[in-house]
Amino acid sequence: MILLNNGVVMPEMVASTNGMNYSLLKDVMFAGVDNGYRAFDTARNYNNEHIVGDVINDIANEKGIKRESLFITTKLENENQIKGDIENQIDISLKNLKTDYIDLWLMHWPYPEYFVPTWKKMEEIYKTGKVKAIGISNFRERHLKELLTSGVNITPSVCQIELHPLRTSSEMVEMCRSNNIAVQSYSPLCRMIPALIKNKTLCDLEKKYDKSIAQIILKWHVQKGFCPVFKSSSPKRIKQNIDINGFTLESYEIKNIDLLDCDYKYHVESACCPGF
Amino acid sequence: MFLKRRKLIKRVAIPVVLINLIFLMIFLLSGYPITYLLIINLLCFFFGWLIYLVNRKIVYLYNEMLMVYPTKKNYRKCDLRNYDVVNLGGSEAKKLFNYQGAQVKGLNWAQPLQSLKYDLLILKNFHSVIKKEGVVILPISIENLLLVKNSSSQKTFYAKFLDPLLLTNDNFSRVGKKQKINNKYPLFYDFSNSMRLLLKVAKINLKKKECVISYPEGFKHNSLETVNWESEAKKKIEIIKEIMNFCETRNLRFVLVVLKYDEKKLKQKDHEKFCSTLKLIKAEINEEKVKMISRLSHEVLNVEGLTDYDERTAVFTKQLFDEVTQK
Repeated sequence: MILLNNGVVMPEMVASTNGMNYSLLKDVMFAGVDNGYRAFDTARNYNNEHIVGDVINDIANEKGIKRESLFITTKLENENQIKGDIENQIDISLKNLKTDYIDLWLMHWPYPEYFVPTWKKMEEIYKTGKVKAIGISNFRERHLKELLTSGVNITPSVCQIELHPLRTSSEMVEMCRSNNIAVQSYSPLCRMIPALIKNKTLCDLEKKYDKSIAQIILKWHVQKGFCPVFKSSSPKRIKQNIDINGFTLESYEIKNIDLLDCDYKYHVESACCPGF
Repeated sequence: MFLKRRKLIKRVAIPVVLINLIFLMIFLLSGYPITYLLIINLLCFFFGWLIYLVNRKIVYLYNEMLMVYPTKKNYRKCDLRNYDVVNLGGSEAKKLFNYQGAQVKGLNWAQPLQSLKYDLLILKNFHSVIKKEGVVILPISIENLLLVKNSSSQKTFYAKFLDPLLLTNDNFSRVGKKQKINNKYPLFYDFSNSMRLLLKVAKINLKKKECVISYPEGFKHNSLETVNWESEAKKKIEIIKEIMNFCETRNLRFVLVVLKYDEKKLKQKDHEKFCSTLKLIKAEINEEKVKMISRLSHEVLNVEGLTDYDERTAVFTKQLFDEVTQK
């Protein structure tokens, strides 16, 4: 568990729900809760916020797991930032998710010229109790610096960024840590591209610990204090991904994985947020 | 495959049968021979197939044109990351920069008749694929300095790959229905431009990329007659400054490359305007911050010992890249 700067406790691993329909999402989330996952991540742009809400209800009805036991994250989109009706947006998300609060509400992108005013509106909503924690996503150092120097009242609790062995974002992580902001890493496995699967360092660790490369990487995330937000549509892999407790990476092994960094970005950030 | 067959039955076979039934009724009632119906069917089938093939070719050509842009779909298929250099610009830049041939990790984001406004939008949309301290080349030519109007068809084209938020402030749907139709059936949605593209490609194939850099295609030398030229120039300088600042704040190196024209090929009036605008740029933009390189675009055609167009542009690109990065 990770303690956020406002006292809220966040699970150390999160399952993403991006791009899944009802039947797939139900399988994935049910497999998740069966294997101990309690945190799920969605966003308005994933076009399935309402489906996540349906499955949360199903989990409560069929598995007997109450809403309070789950940790739900959703995000505010660029279009919403431009429109400026942030108060409405949280109500829409609450309605979609069929809940009366959201555990973590993130600003999906630092949309130029809008992200600072948006943050100030998010602060107001945080005060109403509709969200337990507020955070940011896809920020770079210059965005965070601009935000923190703009007279904000609340420091973001979480920063979610693309982070994996091929992109360690050390400067951003350092900046977050110095401001007591927890780091969530999305695409934590970098979609297991060949550069990772065939990497000698990781293959050696795979043999040494008798774990899959995905498990080695997820352990690297957890030991470095990041909260990986991973996506899998296979219940088998979901079970495998949480099974990382039987071993510990040595500090030199963590450093060796750090050395794989080549600032490889899987996603085109500026295509998701023009002018990023 | 099963889904495709179902779609085919739903979208083609059922409407064809229904239309045929209606026609059959009409023919029976009016007493025309049924063989006419068969002929109509054959003609419809022939022309329908032809339109389908032409539309498919246009979609292919557009997709090929858009391959240089790291859209979410393209980028995931490709392993290359952290590009060393990208260039913007219009027709000339499109023809002159050849990174593949020069073996430089770069992307040519120029498009025919691309204005500075769209240069900025493209940079905004895709800049994150450039490495830290990577180079952004903005070629300045008569085309992007003197061209005034952005046609509405340009917007339709750029809407194919730019984020809708960049193009409009009031349409928040990320991919509108109209755009989806445009992407799938450009022949129907944007007939004139689609045909122009088809004919242009056919012409290039016929001439085998002949080494002629002509007066910018579609550029009308009298396009400035009705406007205040100096104020237009100032507006463009503001955009250049904006591009420069954009690069600076994102740790990218901005380079202005002036692609000069052979004076003899230009109309005197245009040449004068071009030179005056360049003077204004030099006065407004701090040359210490910006590397400014002048090149006569037709120099590319005179590289000794090279006859192949691709080879010449590759040599030009490599020379320019080395100069920009001071190798």
